Amino acid sequence: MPPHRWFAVGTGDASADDAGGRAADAALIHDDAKLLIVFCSPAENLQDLIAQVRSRSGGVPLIGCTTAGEIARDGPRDGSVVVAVLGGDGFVIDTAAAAGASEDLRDAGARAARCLPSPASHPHRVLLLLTDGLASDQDEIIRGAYSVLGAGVPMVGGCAGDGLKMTRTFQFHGDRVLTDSVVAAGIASTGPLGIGVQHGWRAAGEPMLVTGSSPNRVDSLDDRPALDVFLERLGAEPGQLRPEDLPALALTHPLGISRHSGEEQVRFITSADFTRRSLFSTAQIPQGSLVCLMEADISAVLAATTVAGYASVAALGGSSPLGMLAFDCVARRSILGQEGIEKEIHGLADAAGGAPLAGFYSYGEIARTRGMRGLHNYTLVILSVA
Amino acid sequence: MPASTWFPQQLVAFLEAVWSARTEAAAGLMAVERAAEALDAEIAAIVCADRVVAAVGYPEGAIPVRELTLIAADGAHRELTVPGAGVCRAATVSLDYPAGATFILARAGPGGSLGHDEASLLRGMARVTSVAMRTQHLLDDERAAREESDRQVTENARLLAELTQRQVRLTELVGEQAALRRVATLVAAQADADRILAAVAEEAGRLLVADMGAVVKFGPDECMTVVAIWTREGTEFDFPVGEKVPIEGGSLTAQVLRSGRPSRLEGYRGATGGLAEIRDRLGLRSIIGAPIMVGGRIWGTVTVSVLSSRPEAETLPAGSEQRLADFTELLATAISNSQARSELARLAEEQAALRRVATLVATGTASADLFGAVTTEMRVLLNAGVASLLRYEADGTATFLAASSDPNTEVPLLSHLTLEGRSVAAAVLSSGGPARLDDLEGPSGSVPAVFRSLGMRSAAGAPIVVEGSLWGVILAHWRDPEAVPPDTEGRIAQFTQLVATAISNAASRAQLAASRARIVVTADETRRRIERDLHDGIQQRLVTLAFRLRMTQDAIPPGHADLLAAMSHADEELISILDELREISRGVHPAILSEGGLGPALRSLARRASVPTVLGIGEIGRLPQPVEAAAYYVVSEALTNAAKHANATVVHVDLEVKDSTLRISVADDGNGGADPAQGSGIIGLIDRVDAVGGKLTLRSPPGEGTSLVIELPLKLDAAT
Repeated sequence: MPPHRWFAVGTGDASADDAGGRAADAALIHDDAKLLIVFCSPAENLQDLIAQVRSRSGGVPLIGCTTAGEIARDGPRDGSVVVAVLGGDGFVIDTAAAAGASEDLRDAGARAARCLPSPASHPHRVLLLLTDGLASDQDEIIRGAYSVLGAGVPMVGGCAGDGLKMTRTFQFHGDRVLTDSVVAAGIASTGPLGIGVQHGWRAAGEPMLVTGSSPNRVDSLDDRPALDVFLERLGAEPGQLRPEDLPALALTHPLGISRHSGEEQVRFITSADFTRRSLFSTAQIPQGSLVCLMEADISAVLAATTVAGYASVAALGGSSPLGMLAFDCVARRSILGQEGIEKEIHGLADAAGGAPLAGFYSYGEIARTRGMRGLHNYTLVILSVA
Repeated sequence: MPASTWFPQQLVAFLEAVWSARTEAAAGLMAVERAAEALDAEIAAIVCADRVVAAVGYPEGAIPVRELTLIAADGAHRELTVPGAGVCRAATVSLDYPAGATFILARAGPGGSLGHDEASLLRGMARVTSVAMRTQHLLDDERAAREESDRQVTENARLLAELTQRQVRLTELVGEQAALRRVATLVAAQADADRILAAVAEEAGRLLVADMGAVVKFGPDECMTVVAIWTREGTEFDFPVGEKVPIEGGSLTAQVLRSGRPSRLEGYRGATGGLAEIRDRLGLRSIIGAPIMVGGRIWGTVTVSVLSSRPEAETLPAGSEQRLADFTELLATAISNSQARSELARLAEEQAALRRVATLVATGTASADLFGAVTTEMRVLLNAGVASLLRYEADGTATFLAASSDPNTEVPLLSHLTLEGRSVAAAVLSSGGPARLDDLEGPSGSVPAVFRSLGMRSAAGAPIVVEGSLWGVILAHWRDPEAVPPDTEGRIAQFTQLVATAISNAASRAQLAASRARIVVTADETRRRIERDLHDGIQQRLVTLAFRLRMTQDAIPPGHADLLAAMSHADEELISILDELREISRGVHPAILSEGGLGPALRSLARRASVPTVLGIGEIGRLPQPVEAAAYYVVSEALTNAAKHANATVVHVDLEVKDSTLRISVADDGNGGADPAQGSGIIGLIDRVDAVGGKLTLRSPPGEGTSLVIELPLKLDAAT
């Protein structure tokens, strides 16, 4: 007799023959799958890959996206395909896709969020969101989803990547490969679901006031050109730094937006406009925010991983996890380095207690458990399923 | 983070976000969302009276209006249920705008209640919200008003443009209708085609404000004829009207003919050769034409043109081709309607003529009258000069049986014609089918010569076929070859059919009469033969026997009284037989009739009749044998009937010969009520009378006696 709830993961090299099919085969350990989640690197023929997976799973709902790297139990890798499956009558799952998201991000979030089923028999619920990582304002998407779900339903997920090319990311829904879209799976379970969110960064130095900003740009800090202030804080000479060296520098020095709770919301600075002296950020840094320069060391970052993992398990209220989904910021990957991320994954696997693990390196992480804020950078978000 | 730093900046950020909203409602929603974000709260709402203006943190469609309005109304009640978090304390701030509204905020968790600074921030945000919403409200109203005003202006402009357009169109339509009406009036008044076409050219030209309008008819071999032209006053024009000219390739008429659609030729610039000549000679700037369709084929075109003498700018406006085409189409309809009407009228006439002839045929009118009627009807119907009916004779000639001429033409007086040479009559004779000659000038022969001398130029004819064999022909001749109607042979054929039927009927009747006459004659002869046999044979022998008996009687010696008595008895018997025989023979065929004629025979009948008979016959002399026989038997039968049925006291028999007719009347004063259907006697009489072509009239009203009147023609009519 199949278990009421089960979670399994299959992986494979995306370039291998029938990679999608074989990964799916490994994950479809029972007949009553309820959701397939597919993460893979952007490849030549995503449509074929999805078709291969579907040929094994039939009409079972499917979501997924492209990544800046995949995560599975046996470690992080690129160019692979990871298929995670939730199954059993203990889950009631529905999916949705909102295409053309950039026309109205808020509406896209709302449309995606409406797929959440609410049977009284399955009281534990979470919305799993995967967005186009290149969307200009992920916060809007989350606001849209929140307007539909309200404070009672947590959200987790990630922003799709494309191997750091920053050209185009893809999202999967059913048998379709989409872009500029938001896909979601509304999960209702008879068993608990736990979310853990940690980044491991700390504020360094005095806060700065964002005195001028526009979408995805910080123009001025403390009434001075943002780039100059930023470099000053970093102790770099404005004249000395070559523009192409800035991303690497900024990578290890994100900004953190001050919050009432004391915890900063970290924001990824990707590059700068050396003419206008402004900083580019993937997520919004609203005018009037107070921001701090953030710093971390590897141990802190790694520690955050463990904390996030155990926190998500703890949130299960005593039940053991059947499996974990991990949404890890690509910046963390860059910072931790190859050795670091392997340690990170092993740490996660320990926290999972041997349960299967699937996830990806993303351009942004989504976790909304308290209040309205849900978009994170430099963060690890874990969803544990019991 | 000192509140003094953080607070204002948060407020500034809040202000900026809320102010970016475009409408009052959006401002409210933005306010609650940003306030919740700023303060990390789950729930934020703006409540006004019993309405939730905006709220964030509740699932879609699940806003607890009552709970929120309760909190807004009751300052003391501050507990709010946060989904997923349970009951929490809510902070409230009153808003100036909307009037009486309240800003509510609730945060879950242990640090849920707002701190002092946070409360200040919330108050600040509430103030900003009020101002923003009020401003947006005003802007909304203004915007709505402006939009409405803009909409009105646009609508007005559109309506005005539409109206103007309609006005223009209406004027055009009125013009078109008036033009059409003028042409239609001409058509209805059955004006000449020439007048109608001239009107068409003028109306088309005026309608499109052109310098010239023309109607062009297409002929075979890429030719055309300008059948009507109109030019604007003061315009000089020169084009051969009524002449057949070739159609220039590349000209407008060529375009219309080729495409079958309305066309335009602008400028004639760059035209070479014939076209350039046209342009120069006629001074044409531009020309449009629309096809005239008749019976699904292109008959010609109406063209309208503007001359070079017009100012450069003025030319036929766009859409003129279509207007011309519409006008022409309407015209074609009007004309074809009138054509259809006249076609119908023609058909009706034809049917009436056929019906008149058919009636004559049915009533069995004597043939000469019938043939005369046929030729007259046909001539009128076909608008011919002369219509005639000929019978073919066995010797290859033809006999005129009837002819009808129009008032201007003499009637041909010939009775007989030979059929040599070429003629319609000869053609029909040899082919057995209809024939036509469009030009009588050439053919030789007496028939064409005759008609030529009467002024006829073309002919047509159809055969009369009686019972499968060619009997004769109906001919029609015309003065003017153009006047020969279409399908003439077909129309003549309808009449020949009727004539053939009449001839057939008459022949049958004649045959029937002849047959019956033959029967009567045969019967009479038979009776005569019997009588002769009786007389010559039996009667003679009986007379001889009687004589011998007498002799034997005389030879009987006296004293044999019984022998004498027996002989006398036999003698009497013999005489009685003789008498009887004589009677019989008289009944079969009274010798007295053959030898003495009607007078003596009737006197004999009258003497022997059982009812007293009064004869009134005068001197009638001998009459043809079948007539005498018929008269005798009629009177005999009538007397017998009078005796048998009538209970009459007297019978009057009167004879009279007048106008080649023998008139017999037998009248009694008996019961009357004689019915020809009862009793074969009268039927036999009818047959006999019919057989000699006579007429029998029986009048026998009950109680008023019976009278029989017979009229027998003394000349048998040969009905061939």
